[in-house]
Amino acid sequence: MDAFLSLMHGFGVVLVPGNFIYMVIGILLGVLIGVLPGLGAANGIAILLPLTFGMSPTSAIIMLSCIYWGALFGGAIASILFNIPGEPWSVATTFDGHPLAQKGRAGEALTASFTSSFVGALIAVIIITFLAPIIASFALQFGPAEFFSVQLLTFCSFVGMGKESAFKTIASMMIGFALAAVGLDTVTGQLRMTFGFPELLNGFNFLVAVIGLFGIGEIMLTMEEGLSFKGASARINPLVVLHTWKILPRYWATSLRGAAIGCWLGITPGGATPASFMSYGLAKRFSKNGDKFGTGEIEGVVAPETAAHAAGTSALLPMLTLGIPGSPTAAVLLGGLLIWGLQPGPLLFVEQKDFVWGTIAAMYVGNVVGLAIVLTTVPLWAAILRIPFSIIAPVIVAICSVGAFTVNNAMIDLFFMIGFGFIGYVFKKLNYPLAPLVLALVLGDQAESSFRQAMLGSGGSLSIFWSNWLVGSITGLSMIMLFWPLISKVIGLLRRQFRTQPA
Amino acid sequence: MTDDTDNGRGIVSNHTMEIATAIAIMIAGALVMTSNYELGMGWDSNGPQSGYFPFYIGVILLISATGILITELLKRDAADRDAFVHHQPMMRVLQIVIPTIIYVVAIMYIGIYVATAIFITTFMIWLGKYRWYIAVAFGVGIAVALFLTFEVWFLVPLPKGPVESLFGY
Repeated sequence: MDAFLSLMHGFGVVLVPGNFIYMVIGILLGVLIGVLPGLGAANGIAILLPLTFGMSPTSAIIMLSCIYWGALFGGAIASILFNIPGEPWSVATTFDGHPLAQKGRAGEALTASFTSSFVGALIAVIIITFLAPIIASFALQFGPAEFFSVQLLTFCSFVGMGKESAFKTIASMMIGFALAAVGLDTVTGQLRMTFGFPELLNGFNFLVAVIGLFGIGEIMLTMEEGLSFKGASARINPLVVLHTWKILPRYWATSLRGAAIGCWLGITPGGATPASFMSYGLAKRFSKNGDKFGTGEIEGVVAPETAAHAAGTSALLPMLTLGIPGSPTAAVLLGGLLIWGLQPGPLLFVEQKDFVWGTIAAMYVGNVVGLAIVLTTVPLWAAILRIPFSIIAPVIVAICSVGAFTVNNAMIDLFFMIGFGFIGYVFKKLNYPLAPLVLALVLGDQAESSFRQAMLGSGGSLSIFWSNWLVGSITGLSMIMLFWPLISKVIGLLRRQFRTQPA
Repeated sequence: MTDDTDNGRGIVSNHTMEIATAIAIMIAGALVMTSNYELGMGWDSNGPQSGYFPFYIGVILLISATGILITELLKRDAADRDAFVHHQPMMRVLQIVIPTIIYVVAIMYIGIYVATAIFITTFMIWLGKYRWYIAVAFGVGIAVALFLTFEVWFLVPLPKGPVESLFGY
């Protein structure tokens, strides 16, 4: 009930005309970002973040989080009409979405995808509304050791849940931590790893890294593929929408399963992309029409979209309550909190009620408004997708450069951006995950300071991470996650032995 | 890949690229370790020294990169012998990378707005085969839009050169 009252208060914050306009601008920009290849939610928000320094934190987070919802919606447009996933989490949407569009049923596919995105997000927001205050009040009792162990769990989850090689995940993560440590050590005032270059004094800013890794790197990949857009045409009229809405309740089980997978993978940092694939895979296995998946089944659009949007939304739960983001985009938003002068973590729920509940209310309103906007503006986005890449590529490079420059007003950041672009390109091609790198870069200083404080408290003994049942069980869970690739291999081996023995 | 003929010859194999990347990360790990070792990775009167946390980051970095290297050296599957990048696609990547580097260097001397206009215009004429006046209109248009957004609306100063000072900015 308490949560409900706070939520009502949040609606009051969001429905102020000024904030509402920021919300609509955010959604429109977000859809644009989601539609265009090379501009993703993470780097789109990173580019716009410096522009929000002058805004009130609440307006800023409303606009930026709405960019996120917009991008989640927008990714589906490019996938269905053009068979080009605008975002990694909409790859699974192309499997059935594009065949539907080729059959001339693009309107149905789009309506189904937008509606299930909306349902996924809604379920995730409801979970956030009621779970977030509980987690936050629980986390208020956390000391440095507990915080470090939760951060450890986040990072170990990447190893356990990621489909990439465990070594690559760890390496990518450690590169992020190492980059975060460069520059002035705020505790002792010493310079670290600057190797005599004064430019490195301030270290590497994660926004520049995100813009380089995801923006420039993505442009390089897109150029390599030599994209030429051949799209299906799209019109959505109210009749098609109503018709599709009549069919959709049939897939309630798929929707619920997708939302559950999405929420789980969003809160633990698995992310929207694996969630969409997992949901698609399970829907295919359980559906009566499973064998027809891939030829244009509405259910094959519902499954990944619900999961992706649920995951994208619920990734904000750990960010708001613990200060630990569940996805790169959430990481960028978290960086925004620090820049706006808010201390992320459970205290937000006590000290910044307007901010927290405004953000949560914006998730409800933003998704309703987002659904209405995308349903009515599809032809516009389809037209934008037809703009040749020889125009889009230099424009995106220019926007990325402006974004990287405005972070610190430093020329050197533009060269760092290009450097990160190369890293992003090579890492993507060699299947190194980028999300752990970004998260480590954002959380590096925090993780280090809670580790140091914990060590100070214990006099340098690691046993503090097992000192009580709470911290011990989180650390224990982290270790299971960390060694999960090994554990699952052993289980697999045992099972095979077990099976062959009776014979 | 089967489309070898379309894309030209392979430039470098995935295998080689994996090994090179792993070795580069190992060097980075070693660098992080030595740098923080020199800084002090132990304890002093105030608790852990500056190099304490990053030193161990370097250790884990080195170990994980060694793991990548060993896995790669033991691997024997066909996909690994595939090219990391083929000739044609690499040329396309360079078509955006080289202009981007020139663009960023140019920003230092002529400011971001003029550089952006020139960058977009040349790119459109060169790769997009647009008529020059369309390209110029588009390039200048984007630059002006950027100028209005940042200098006028949000009051965020971006790098400027001689042309902007001509207009009094």
